[in-house]
Amino acid sequence: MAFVLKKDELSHFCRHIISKGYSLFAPVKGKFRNTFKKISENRVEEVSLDYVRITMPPLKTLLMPPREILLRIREGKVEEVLPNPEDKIAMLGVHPCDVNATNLLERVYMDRPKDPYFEARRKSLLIMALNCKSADEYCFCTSFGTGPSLEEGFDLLLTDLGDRFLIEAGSRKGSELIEDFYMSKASSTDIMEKDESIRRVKGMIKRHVNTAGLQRIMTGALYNPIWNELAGKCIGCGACNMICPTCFCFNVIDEPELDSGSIIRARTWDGCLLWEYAEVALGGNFRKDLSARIRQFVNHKMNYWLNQYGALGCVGCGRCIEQCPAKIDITSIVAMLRGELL
Amino acid sequence: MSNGFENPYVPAFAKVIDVRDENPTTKTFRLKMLNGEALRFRPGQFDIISYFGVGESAFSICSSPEEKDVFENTVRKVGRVTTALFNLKPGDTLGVRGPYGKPWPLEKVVGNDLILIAGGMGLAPLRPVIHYIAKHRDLYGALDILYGARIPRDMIYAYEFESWRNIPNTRLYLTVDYVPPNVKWEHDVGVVTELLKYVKPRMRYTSVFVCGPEVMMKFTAQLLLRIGFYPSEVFLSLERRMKCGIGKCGHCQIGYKYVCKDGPVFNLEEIGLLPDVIE
Repeated sequence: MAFVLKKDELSHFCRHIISKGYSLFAPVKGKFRNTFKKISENRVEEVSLDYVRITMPPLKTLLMPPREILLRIREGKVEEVLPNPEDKIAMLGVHPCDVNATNLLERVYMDRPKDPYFEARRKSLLIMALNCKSADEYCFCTSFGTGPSLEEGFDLLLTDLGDRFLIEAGSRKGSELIEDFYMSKASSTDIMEKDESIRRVKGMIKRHVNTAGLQRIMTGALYNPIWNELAGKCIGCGACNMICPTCFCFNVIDEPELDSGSIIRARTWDGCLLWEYAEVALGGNFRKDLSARIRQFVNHKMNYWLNQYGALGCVGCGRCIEQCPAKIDITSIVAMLRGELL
Repeated sequence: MSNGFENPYVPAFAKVIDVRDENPTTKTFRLKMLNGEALRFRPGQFDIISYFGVGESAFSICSSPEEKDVFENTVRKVGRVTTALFNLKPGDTLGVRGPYGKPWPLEKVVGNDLILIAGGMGLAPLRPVIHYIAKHRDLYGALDILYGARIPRDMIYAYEFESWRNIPNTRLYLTVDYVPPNVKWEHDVGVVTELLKYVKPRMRYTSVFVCGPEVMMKFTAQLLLRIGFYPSEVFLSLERRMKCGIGKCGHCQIGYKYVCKDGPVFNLEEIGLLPDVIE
């Protein structure tokens, strides 16, 4: 069943979600571009679903925070510091690429043995996705079928139809959320407008990765000189790792908690582009050379993921291209290796 | 291993019941789980030891798999965690997770001759193999153990060498890189692969287990293939830094393999095409 929400009712809709006991996260206007924030009841007017690109991947940042305490060790006892399962979180306005990236992260973290921190947050999370109504020069989701529209993986799905949103439910949790919120039913015209909008956005996407036989090509190119050439440009900052919605690596650190006298064990995001990542004892490092680290990043996404988790590890969000200070472009690396670019 | 939690990151506590000096920078810790349960492991698997406040590190479980209620880890002082562990005394407690990883394929190689090639600390994951074969001697053919270290004093488990030599149809060959002045040494001098001259392998019926520094494993693997060993019968135990041991933190990946869950034991067929295997 699909419904129609007038845009001037969006604040009312947000209040309805909060009234159901959810902490609501949604994009608000920032200085540079929209960014996801927790929305309190008196600030629902600030929600702005009118955006093309969000810098930090919102779902990854929520489901596996950049820094997270795992354990607290106190007086010879180990305590788990698990997220409270009662804390219901609703994320409104997440684009299809980020929802699909979360589905990929599930393959990693819900694979046995399950990661209980990720699992707890995922279970208490309600996803209200938003089909894209525009694309920019960095988008290439169509290459992976991960956008600009969504078919599954959401509780509710919004599509911007100009003066109104089309709202479709994708789960029982989603249907229940709107059953006592009055909206008019969508007409066949609304559905046609949605299809037309998605077709238009697809036409705006100019960047592509040809995934046909990609794994074989990547494996064949492991010793291609391109990795050394890229090492001359890359500065090894790891920005691509941090903003990638499918990068899942973490480091674990023990620290004293000064006020309580306990020890905490926390994890923090880590990335294969960073020098320390493959370091071992006595100064050894298996990816000392930047060329090996770039090769690892690109091959993990475009090659190894398929063996490890049954899907390529890229959703075509374009963040790594936009944020790279050395202007390295994963789509042109693939094109060069395919001989499609000279 | 049950620790009262479903959380795979929560370590259980173990008590140090004995500490043996192996050499000036290496100690073996004999451990017992405080919950009274056994750490049921297979030779070649590893555990992750916590020194709370400093961190975790992965170690080969180096004791006999036949010993049910105690287990051992040999620790070389090389970094923050190992330096902290070095100060532990009998009676102290530490955290343990595991066992993790794919063991040596002892079931698969039943009936074969076995050559174990170890360099330095690389003898640790092979010691359970030796103890296992000693208990199940009929299952395997000839056992040749080739062990090399930097200097005679560095050799670990030297107090067991005599009992290993007494295992039927078993030979132990030793070599060192260098003999310091005034040190008595009746064995070979040179790299460990030179000890292969003492072994008469029946290629198709011989499996080789190798563990040691990366460069030693690289040259050993190349030589074994050149001599004519089957790549599917040469197994290496690889080492990487690990933050989780359960295929989540990403650190130990080599190509599409995770050392923690697809290894640490790999045969040469599996790792032949992977990048960044050797430093």
